Amino acid sequence: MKFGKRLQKQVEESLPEWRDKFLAYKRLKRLLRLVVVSTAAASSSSSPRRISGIAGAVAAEAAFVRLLDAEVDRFNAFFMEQEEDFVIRHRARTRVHIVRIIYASMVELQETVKKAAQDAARRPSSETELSLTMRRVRKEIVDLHGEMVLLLNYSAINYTGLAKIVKKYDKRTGRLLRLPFIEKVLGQPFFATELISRLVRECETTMEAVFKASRVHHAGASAGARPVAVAAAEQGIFRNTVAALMTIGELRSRSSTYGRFSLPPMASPEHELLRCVQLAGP
Amino acid sequence: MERLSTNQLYSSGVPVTVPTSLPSIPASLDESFPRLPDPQNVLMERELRSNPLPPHQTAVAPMRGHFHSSTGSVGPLCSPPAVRFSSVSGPEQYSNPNLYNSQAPSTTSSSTLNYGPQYGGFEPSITDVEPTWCPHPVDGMLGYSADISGGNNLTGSTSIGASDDLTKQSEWWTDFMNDDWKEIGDNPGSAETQLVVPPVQTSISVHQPATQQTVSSQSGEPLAVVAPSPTAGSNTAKARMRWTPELHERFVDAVNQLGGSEKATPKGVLKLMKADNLTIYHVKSHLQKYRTARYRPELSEGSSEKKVASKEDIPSIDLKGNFDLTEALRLQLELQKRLHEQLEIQRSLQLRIEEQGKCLQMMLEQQCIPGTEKSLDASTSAEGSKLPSDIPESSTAKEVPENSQNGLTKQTESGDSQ
Repeated sequence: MKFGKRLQKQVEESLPEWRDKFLAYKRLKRLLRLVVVSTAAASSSSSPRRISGIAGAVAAEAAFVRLLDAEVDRFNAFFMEQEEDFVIRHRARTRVHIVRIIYASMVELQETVKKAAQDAARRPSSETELSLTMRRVRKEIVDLHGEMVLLLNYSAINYTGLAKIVKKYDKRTGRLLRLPFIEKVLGQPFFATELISRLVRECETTMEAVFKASRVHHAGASAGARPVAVAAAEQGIFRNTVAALMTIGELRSRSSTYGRFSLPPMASPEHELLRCVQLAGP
Repeated sequence: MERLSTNQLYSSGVPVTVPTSLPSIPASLDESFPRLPDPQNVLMERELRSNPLPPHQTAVAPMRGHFHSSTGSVGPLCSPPAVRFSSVSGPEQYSNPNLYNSQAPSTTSSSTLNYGPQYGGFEPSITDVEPTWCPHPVDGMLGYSADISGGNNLTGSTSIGASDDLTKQSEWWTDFMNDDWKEIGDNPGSAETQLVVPPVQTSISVHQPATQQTVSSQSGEPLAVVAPSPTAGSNTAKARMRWTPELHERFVDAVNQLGGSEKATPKGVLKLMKADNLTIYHVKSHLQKYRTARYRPELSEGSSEKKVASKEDIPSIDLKGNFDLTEALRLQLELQKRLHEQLEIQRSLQLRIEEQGKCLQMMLEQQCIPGTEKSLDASTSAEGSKLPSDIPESSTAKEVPENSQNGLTKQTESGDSQ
């Protein structure tokens, strides 16, 4: 599949507020076509019309570069805004809940032991308030983790799109825009994702501790029932993540232009997992 | 911004077909562009989007020509815009390291590639932020204007600036600078523009105290990501701050000291935090976000419990309902972790590829083989040919880099970042 289509799919699957924040790949392609056309027209026209033709070509190129820069600005703004949100939420969640989790795990352990002695057929709605809260907290952390990873994906896909479009530009117009532009992009805030990565890892660590704790008292639970249905019922982040993984997998599986700057294919276990999820998913 | 990039094109020696109506520009561009300060570029590029071409065809060329002649003046040239924007010449005057500590990428590119995250028109505002670097640019500017007037006999009338509102001045200066860059070649040698320049500067110098405040408000703005070349030149209110966890921690401490998120005021928090590059606008918006983030969990606590309970009813497996939810969460987390991993891999690969591309480029350039830059980049856009054919294509004239090329292309085999 072509990148433009993949990007579209990704955008469709994104969280609603993100939909218009992605790269305007199509628009850039159209502008590029305009540049090529106008340059061709300029060079082939007779001399009286040449100057205006050339002016047109120059203007088109200028517009292209201008759009590129405008896009980068947009990414930066959105990225930093999200980053700020995540920093706040991350601190709010993980800080408080590490303490809560430890405490809750202990309490829950006692409760579960007590409950196990009671009627097993009773609906779980009689669970303790604490465990409900804990569940909500866990969900929130996982969602936060998911959103942050999606932000990383946002950054990656936009970078990829930019790289592709300037590569096309260089190829079609013979200019050397790619190198300096990419260098500049590499220094942009939206590409500097180290902070978010770190927060993501911290979330992972927190959740591992949580799961370990919950595994203790749910040791007897069978994993027979397919849990996917429940998870898949919630939309947004989960589906978006799946879509993102699919996109990456496709991006890296096959290409029409191999070159020095191509990425190797993704490891196959992804596809297995994804296929399972897709089948069971919404 | 096209100004920026086209200049890059020029300076990289690409045979750009410059329209015949711009005769002398390429030469002067080549020489002077690298020396031009960033703020002008950033400013220009921003303004280009918002203000399409007001009529003063101020020419850059004659100005720059002038600058060339007076050797010291390019340096101080930085200052007048630096009065309102950060000075490229004095990055050490900025103290914003903490804001960008999370960023590793080194920008080897010159200051011309700097991107300020701040955009919008400039609106000088008096803020509480202390002036950190006022003296130097102002001095420089004074020196500059003296230089200008000395060199040019263009002792401008200070009438323009003297009693003007600083805002009006800056807007006008903005437009002026913009058009400079935009119409770069269109009007070489319009003498009026030279007249225009010194009055602005002298009038700015007249407003020194106000300027200092402006300057300080500018210095209070967050830096561009690229640490070595800080640029501002943007509206304080719209400037983007990069909130790191450490900074946020200080924020939370300050808020707690003031009695909680409801009681704390932006001004109080700002004072307590004592962070150099924070403005009240940043604090205000951050406080708002903080409040909603804390308020929402409290709000949803009641409803989400019910939601969670009902979700458990869905699988209609009694005891297992609880476990399933955890399992589902775990699965979701697993998937997300997987995506994260892949993204990290992809990113490091991309960085490495670019890095090696640059190394190769340098090596080829050192070999002094003509047309190597083009062929290096051209080979990356070589279409349809699989790896083996890629190699002979790009290594026609180079023996030494061939091995490393082989290694590199093999590495990136069969996949395309496209």
